[in-house]
Amino acid sequence: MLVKNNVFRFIIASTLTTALSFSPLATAETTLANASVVVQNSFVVAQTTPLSFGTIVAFAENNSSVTSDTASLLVNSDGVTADTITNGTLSKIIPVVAATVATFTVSGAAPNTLLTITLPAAFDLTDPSLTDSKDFRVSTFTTSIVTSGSPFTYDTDGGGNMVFNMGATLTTDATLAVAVGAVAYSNVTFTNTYTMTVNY
Amino acid sequence: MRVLSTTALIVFFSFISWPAPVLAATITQQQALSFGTIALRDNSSAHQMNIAFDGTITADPAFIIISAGSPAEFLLSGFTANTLVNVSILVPSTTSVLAGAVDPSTSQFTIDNHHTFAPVLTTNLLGEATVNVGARLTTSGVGFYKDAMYIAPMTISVNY
Repeated sequence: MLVKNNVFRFIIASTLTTALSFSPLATAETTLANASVVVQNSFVVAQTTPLSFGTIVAFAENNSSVTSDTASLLVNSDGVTADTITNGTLSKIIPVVAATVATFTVSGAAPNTLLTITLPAAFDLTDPSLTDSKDFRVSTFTTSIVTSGSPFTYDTDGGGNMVFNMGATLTTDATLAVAVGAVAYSNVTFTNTYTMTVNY
Repeated sequence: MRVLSTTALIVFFSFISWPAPVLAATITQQQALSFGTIALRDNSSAHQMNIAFDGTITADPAFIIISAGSPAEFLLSGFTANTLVNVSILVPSTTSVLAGAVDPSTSQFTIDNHHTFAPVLTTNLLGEATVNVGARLTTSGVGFYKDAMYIAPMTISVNY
């Protein structure tokens, strides 16, 4: 009887121990983490070839009563079509060295994404040395796509790149006020800067 | 003699029913919750992007997705096999901050609506389970965003 009681107690103890070892415990495991986002609004627009109207011989009409008499040199943005020169009565442009279109390369932009190009406003080319007070007007900008994600479309390729050209028209000075007829431009370089804007 | 053999049987039973040593339960991040790399066309009003727990991405047109994001993936391991566990996500702050920098001039995002497939999961035979976490990103609708990484913390808690 004594032996039986001991066995019974052992069974009770063993069962209790076993039950305790399986009882669910309210336990929690945690770990810290971050959610993130990377903003990359900016991308690179680089001028790989500057807009140049080449080397020319130019005459401006120096008669205030005939201000519409100008000569112009149109540089086509496709980079293939020959430059178009339109001379006035006295105003002349004679090409010596051919013009080149501007070329811009976009990189680091979102892939396969349409971009918007904002052309610059008309501006003047002037002589930084002030040897010649006359200027040229640059206006009527046009663009042509060179490489992009889709033909004839201003969208980036799979790598976020795009290349496009910009052409423009150079016009001789129409603001001269001394009536002496045609006047030649000095042999200097006329320059200016402009801003090309490309947006998503 | 008969009593002794009964006792031996009970002792043996007791040992085999004793639970095996429990491995340390751990939560391991396999993949971070990321909204990817984006550009914003405009921030004049608030815009949203959602990444669901299953990886589905929906975004307002104002977002330009440069590289797509992904939901977080956590591996639960060392848990008891075939056991229900409760998963909760604690978010101390839904407002993002610049990673590794302080710049009050930039706008911040709101990251909220953290979610999983279900709050209760069952571990497998190995005592493991996978938890995917998605969330929602909302722009400020005012100001601008500097090019940078923005982060917001969260804590994954598993109760069992």
